Amino acid sequence: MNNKIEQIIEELIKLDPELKKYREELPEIVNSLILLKPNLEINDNFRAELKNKLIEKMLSSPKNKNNNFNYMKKINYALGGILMLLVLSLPLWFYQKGNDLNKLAQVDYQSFSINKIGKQAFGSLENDSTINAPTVDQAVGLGGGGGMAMNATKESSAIDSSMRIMPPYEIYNYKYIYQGESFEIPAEQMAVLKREKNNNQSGINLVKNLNLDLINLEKFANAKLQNFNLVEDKKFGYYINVNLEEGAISINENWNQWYGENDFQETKIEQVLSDQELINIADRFIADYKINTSFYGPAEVQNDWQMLYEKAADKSLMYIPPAATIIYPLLIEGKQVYDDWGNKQGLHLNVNFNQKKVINVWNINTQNYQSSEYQMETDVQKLLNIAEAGGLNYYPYSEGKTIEVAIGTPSIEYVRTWQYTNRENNELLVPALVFPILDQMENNNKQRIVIPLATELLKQQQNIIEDQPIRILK
Amino acid sequence: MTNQEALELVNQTQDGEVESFARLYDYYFPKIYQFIYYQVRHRESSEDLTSLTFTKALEKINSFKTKDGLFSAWLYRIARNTVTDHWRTKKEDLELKIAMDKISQEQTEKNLDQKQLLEKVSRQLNLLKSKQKEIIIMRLWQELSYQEISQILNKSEASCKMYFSRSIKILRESLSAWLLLFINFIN
Repeated sequence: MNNKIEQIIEELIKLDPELKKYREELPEIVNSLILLKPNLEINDNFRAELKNKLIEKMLSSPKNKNNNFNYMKKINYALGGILMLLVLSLPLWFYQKGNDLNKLAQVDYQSFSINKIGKQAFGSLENDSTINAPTVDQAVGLGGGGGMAMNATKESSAIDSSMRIMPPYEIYNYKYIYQGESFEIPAEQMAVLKREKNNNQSGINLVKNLNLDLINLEKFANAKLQNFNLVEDKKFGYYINVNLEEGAISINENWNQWYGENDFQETKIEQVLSDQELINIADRFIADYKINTSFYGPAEVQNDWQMLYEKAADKSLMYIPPAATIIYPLLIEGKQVYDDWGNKQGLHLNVNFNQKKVINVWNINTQNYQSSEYQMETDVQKLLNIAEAGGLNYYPYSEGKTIEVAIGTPSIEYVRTWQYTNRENNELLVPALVFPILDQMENNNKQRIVIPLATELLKQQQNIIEDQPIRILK
Repeated sequence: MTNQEALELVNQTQDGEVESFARLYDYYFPKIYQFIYYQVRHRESSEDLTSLTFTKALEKINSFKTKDGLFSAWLYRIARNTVTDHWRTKKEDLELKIAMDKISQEQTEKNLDQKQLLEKVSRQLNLLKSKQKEIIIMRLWQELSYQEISQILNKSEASCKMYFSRSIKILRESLSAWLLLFINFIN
């Protein structure tokens, strides 16, 4: 008898001591009543759509209109009309001819919008890095240098089997078997979303006021503030990076104020927090810092390392990370967003087991998009063939044991891809089929196969696959 | 989420903070949706009624006062009234619709005796009074506290406890012979 039933029985006997005579029968009744509870799966699309509708309603109420939300009407097509005004007040202190001046800049962010534009407005969806992109060796931008990671070119990403190192574990190849229901692609044309960067101009005025004794920054024509850092100078303070151009904020622990000599000891399994504890810490942080989670789903803990730990014969040899990652999955129009490998995209936080605190947050991003319709692949059999081959990113080894893995009925979500044009990386959300992997895989925690539906992307990816050698182990 | 945490979020929502409302919604959506579904047993109707419940809650949230009691109970009360109105407009019997006659696939996979026992319990459960069934659902399926149940039903905690224990007693009496057979069998 489980604790829950035991507790209810005790409660019943306390209420009516006469029931003690039937101590043996009561658990069967209570258990049967619990078993009769219907299995209910919640429709995530409905949940997200209703949330957006309610938030739109809240934002359009007179109370919120007075709070500068009245330009909501300008959005042509918004996800339920979620619109937030994130006002970053940046205090800037500087000396000017011996006087302390306190300037306050206001940077207004519209944090969510989708603007519908004409068909195929983003040009070719193919990543033309193989044609025009500079290689990693080349300097990028007029100033050269910089730390921006470039997309690898086709040449540099091609797998050279002669350089492959024999993996230190048993090799498995996977054969995916479709066991889902029949399905159709609902439309030949669907919206592809392109994330708009923040073209905020208010930084210009700020820089114009920066006439230091060392240099007069006003002399730099049209110079604008691209990013800035804030440092919390206190115990367990944070280091905050605000990238105004990308519309992105990240938070990291201020190391000087965070760690002592004893804080780098190996993590023990007893220190690992439960999922609920981790989520509570993350939720509390989100609430304390008023991070806008309107377009994210409930928190999930990513604990892939635990799968390997559970399977390990000698657990003492296993590395236990000092922190766990919690993700709030991004939901756009009720659809989840994944990367090519089937990982959920969204707001990430790391929680340190030892200190029981959030140490990093990343992907606090504005979600402003342009929406344009593109041709989708509607040949279901063709899509199933790609799925059964493991998707567009799966290259089997030439040897090893082959394991059959079942995949289920797909749903249509978004996959995040990148389009490199005119020396700029554009972030695209492309409709995609997401097949759930139904079986637990050996040495692999892959949970989904993601196939973009846009015909251009499918064609490009398949061309790349045809050029790839199979993985030969030496 | 404790009531104190919920009340903080309610206060912030009353001040127009969207993210606080979003957090309340994320936490209570599954609970309210289940609460409604258990009563109407129809997916589309449950979605419509859940939508209505949260819309009403958002419209009325500025009138919610701490002295009104638990926020969860306030929200469940709105959901319960919404379901009642639904049955009224449909001009159907206000008797709580608990479709216990359909045993789920998972349950039919259990052994035959367990399945027969479930069918008997289901049948007897449907013979209980509406309020008794409602309390069983809230206590055993939704795992609500007696404090929450009493505020939702606007009854004292003592009477809710009494309803629950009496319901179990009635079920035990009606199933007595079956239970003895079942227990002898499994032992």
